[in-house]
Order: sequence, then C-alpha cells, then structure tokens
Amino acid sequence: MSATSPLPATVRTRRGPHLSGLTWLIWRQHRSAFWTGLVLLAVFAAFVVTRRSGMVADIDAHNLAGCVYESPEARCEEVNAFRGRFYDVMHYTGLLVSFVPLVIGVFLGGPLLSRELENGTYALSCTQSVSRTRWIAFKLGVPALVTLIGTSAVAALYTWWWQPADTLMKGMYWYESPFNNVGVVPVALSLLALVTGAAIGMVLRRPVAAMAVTCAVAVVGWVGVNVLRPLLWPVREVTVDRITADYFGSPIPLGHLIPNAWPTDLPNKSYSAWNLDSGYLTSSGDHFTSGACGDFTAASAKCLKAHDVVGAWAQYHPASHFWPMQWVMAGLLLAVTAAVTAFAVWWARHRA
Amino acid sequence: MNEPAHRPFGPDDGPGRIAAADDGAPALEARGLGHRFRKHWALRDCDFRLPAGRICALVGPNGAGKTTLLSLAADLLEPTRGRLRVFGDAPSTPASRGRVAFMGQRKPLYPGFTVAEMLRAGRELNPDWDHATAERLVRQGDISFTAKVGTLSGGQRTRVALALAFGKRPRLLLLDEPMSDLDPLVRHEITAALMSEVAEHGTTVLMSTHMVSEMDQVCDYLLMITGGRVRLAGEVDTILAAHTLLSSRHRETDGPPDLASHIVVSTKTVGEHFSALIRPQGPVTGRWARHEPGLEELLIAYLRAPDSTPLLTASARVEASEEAA
Repeated sequence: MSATSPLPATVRTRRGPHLSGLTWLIWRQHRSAFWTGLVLLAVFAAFVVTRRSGMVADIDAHNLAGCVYESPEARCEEVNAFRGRFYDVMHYTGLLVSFVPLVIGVFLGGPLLSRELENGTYALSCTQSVSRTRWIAFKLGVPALVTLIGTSAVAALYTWWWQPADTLMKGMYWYESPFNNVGVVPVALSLLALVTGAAIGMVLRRPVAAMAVTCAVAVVGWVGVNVLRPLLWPVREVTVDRITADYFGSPIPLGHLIPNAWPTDLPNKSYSAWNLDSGYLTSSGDHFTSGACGDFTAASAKCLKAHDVVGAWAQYHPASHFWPMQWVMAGLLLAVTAAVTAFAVWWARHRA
Repeated sequence: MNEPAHRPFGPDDGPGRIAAADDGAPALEARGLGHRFRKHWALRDCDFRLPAGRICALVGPNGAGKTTLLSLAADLLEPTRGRLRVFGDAPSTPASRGRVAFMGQRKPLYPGFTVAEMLRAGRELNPDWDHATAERLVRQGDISFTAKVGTLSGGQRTRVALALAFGKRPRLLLLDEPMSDLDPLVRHEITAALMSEVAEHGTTVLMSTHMVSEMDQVCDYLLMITGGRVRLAGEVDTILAAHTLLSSRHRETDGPPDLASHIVVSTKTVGEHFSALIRPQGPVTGRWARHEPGLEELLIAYLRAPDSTPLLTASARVEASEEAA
C-alpha cells in the first residue's frame, strides 16, 4: 500500500525560509500580502537610496551642511534653490508613505480574521490541537512581526533620507510628513492599524465590510492623531515687549497673522520650531486678538495702540521637543494597540 | 491508482470498535447542557451520554440544535448552562482538543492551499499527526497532491477534510452533515472510506445527518434533538424494539380508544387507513396489524410529533446521583 511512502515531492520541495507550526500556517495563509509588502519595500529602498545620494551630493557641492532656511550666512543663500530641487519629491513621497498604516490596516488587518470567519476555516483553525489562544496569538503575531520589520525599514529609510536636509526644508519638520513618517511613530501607527483592522474583522465577520470600516476608522484616527500632536508635550510660551519688523512669513498660526509684530527671539527663523499660536499682549498681560483691529494697515496699528497693546506672545514647540513628542505619541499608540489586541484575544476566546 | 477500498460494513464491525475504547468514560456526557444565542435557546436542559466506540447519528429538524451541540463538543462554543464532557474532560482542555476532530458542514479548507499544503497544515498543528492515514484517504480518492483545494469537487473536498480529521488520530469524530452536498455514488465512497477508518482506529463518531435511510446501516446509536431538547438517545436496536407501529382500517375520526394505556408518539390517518407509532406499556389489545418500525419510519413519526415524551436507553442516561453533584 502506498500509505507508508514518504511525503510527496510537493511537500519536500520548499521555497523560502523554513518555518514550522503556526508560524508556517500563518505565513502561508498571508504570503501574497507579505511578499507584496516586501517587494514594495524593496522598490521604496532603491528609490530612497538613489534620491538620497543625489541630495547629499548637492549638499556637498553647495556646502550647505549646517545651514538653516534663511540663515544669514552667504553660503546658505543656495538653500532656497536646494529646497526647490528636493522638497517636492521628499514631501510627496512622505505623503505616500504616510498611507502605509492605512494600507496595512485595510489590506492585511481587515481580512485577517474576517476571511476565516466568513469561509468557515476559523472552525478548522480552532479545532486543531493547538489552543485557540495560541492560534490567535500567532494569527496576530506573525503579521505584526512582518509589519514591525517592514515599517521599521520604511521609517528608517525615510529618516535616513530626510536627516541630512532636516534644517534645509522649510515646513518639513513638524507636519504630518515627516513627523508621522520618521522614528517610531509610523511603526506604532501601522501596528495599531493592523490590530484594529483585525479586531473590526473579527466583530463584523465580513472582509469587505471590515476593510471599509477599517479605512474609515483609520482616516478618523489619522485626523485624531494630528489634532492630538501639539498637546503631546508642554508647549513653550514667549512674550516680548518689542514689536519688530522682521516678520518672515511663517505658517499662519490660526488666523492670528501679526504683521510687523513678531517676537525677535522666537526661534522661527530656522523653521525648526512649530509655532502653534500667537497674538498681541496688553500692558495688563492679557492676550488680545488682532481681529478687532485688522492687520497690515496704519489704521490697525493705531487701533492696536488704542487697545493698549504693548507686546506680543507666541506658543511654540522648539525643535528639541520633536523626539520627546515622537516617543510620547508612539507610547500612546502602542498602549491603544495593546488594548485593541487584548480585546481581539478576548473576543476570539469567548465570542467568535 | 488503486480503486478505492470498498469494504462491506455493518453490525459485525461493532465489537472491534467497542473494544478499542479503553477507559470507562463516555465519549460525550451532557448534564443540564444549554446554549443560548442572544435570546434564543439553541439547546436546553440536555442530559445524555454517548458511550465510547459508537457510531451515532445526530438527527433532528433544521434548527434543532445539532450544529450547536457539535460546536460545543468541538469547543467552538461555550455552554451557557450546564456542562459537556468529552471522555471525561471539558472540551476546552488540551487533552480534549487533541482527542476530538471536527468537520464542519462546509468542509472548510484554506483557500489557495494545495492538497499537500492542507495535509502539512494538519501535521504542523497536531503533535500526534498520522500522515500515512491522511495520505491514504487522499490517494484512495485519486486526488492530486498538487491540486489547489479550490479546484476540488465536492467529494474530493470532503475526502481532504476527512483526511485532515483522521490525520489528527481523534478518539471522537464530529461530522456536521458530511454527506449533504454529495451525489449518491460519492456518498457511498465517502461512507466506505469513513467506515473503514473508523473500524481500523476504533473512533467514536457523532454525525448529524438528514440522510436517515443511508445512515441506517452505518449507525448503531441514535441521538435525536428537536427544539433544542433531547428526544431520543440510545442504541438504534433498543430504540426500535421499544416501539410498535400499528395500523388498521378505521372509520372513527378520533382514533381507537384502546391506545390510551400506551405512549402514543404520533398518529396518522390517510383516507380510511389509520396508523400509530406507540411505545407499548403492556400488551397491545385490539385488531391491529403491528410491526417493529424501521429507523426512517420512527424518525418521521417523531419529527411529526416533536413534543412527545423523551426516550433514553440505559446507556444514554446520566445518573441522577452524579447530576446532583
């Protein structure tokens, strides 16, 4: 009888890493998603390597290292032109990269459990000799590990690309890109998106519905994360009693455009500070909104004087807050990730 | 390839199977078992035993709670009330997980996997995996190991699912309507394969089915559930022997009065022909044509009268004294 013959040839010949147990099963189940991600990662890496080498060569050629945007040194005048050459590609690539968590949540997380629940293989997975807790741990753990490695590589590549030019790119320090694309934040965002998609799929039991809801939740979450961002670290406030004329046209802080009224010691010239809000200051120390007076005109100057304006205030995050805020954000995201994971495991053990 | 091994099977296989059950614990034991989905009780107050080594048909109308019971035994659901023991252990214990194999109604297989990969999945997830048995079941069906499971026919799919179940070396095999989507010839082949493995390994089988006439020759035990409650449980022979099918030509509309001393399961009047399935509680008097019912006749009578008095044979009953504990 053929029953005692060795494994058929198809079982013996394996491509790729030798995996076993649940690791093999989960990798095999989602290998097309994993390979797609790895191929995209390789393309991204090649792209970053070529772009960065061109950019670094440009910095060397024009001796721009150490310059900040609009710095007084003569050699740094080239920064404007440098920005024209390299800003767009880095900025738009960054926007693209910031969609990585969403894509992982929708295409890997959403179907992860819902597909098994829909086609009934959940019952197959959960009636083998391995415990259900172990199964759900690997089911979430293997994609989480792949996500961790993949997004760490993406974040490291983007950080590596951006860092030689971090002070040269006006407006490219604090905004969605690169704040959400460098360091640990993109990794934490991706892990959160993954487990959230998986948990939604577990509750809804339908892949398409799970993917749509995950997408909506990811967008809302994205907005929430950006609303939360300025609050992650105590904001610094300066007040000045001297109104000067050297306004450089920084990003407009919430409608409070203050022409000719920028505090001189505000470190905004390098644009590595994040100006959150600013306004006028009266002699009693109260904040005064310029809306009542308008801006830019002789009349408004008169009006401000009439309202007892003697100075200005500004709230901002200096560049030194960047990494602490990164870690706080990553910590918060990972805490939420842990909570969602706990929910998913509980649901798998008792409800699904 | 070899022809599938068609083995004759029947009651003669019984003793071998029963001998294989080594310890005294019943394959399944339910005490006050109940399961509720939101507000609906799918199973309620179930007390029964399935002795080891039996091949038990689980019958009942759609929605009676058959899949719920199988899912509870497979640890896919948790009881809302009461408890269920598999060879003495709760279904969620590691010991029980290793002893039970479950084949769902849709015979789920991982999409995109080849047959060989499905068997490997079984091997990777089960420490006692019996690859020879699993491969034999696949080979007997002339199924290519390189075929994607999505391209298999219903019969081939069932065979691969069975191979996965038997590869686990289960002591209790739970099958949810294993034959429902198969044509008669394939049904016969799958039944033959199933019975030959069961006979070889001494597996206890609990299988829900609507194919009563075909299960007649395969199953030696019966568990009938209607409305979430156990209606019949026990050896097929004992249950059949406890019933009598009576028939007569009768003109009265309200039936003959001399049945009052017996348990009447159901009655039927077609034209002038009156028939009744009863559990005799003494000698049956009157001018009746009487005979022992067939399994199908019995089940149809019970399905027609879902509220009839339950009957559990001695081996299917749980002791009241233990119940109190």
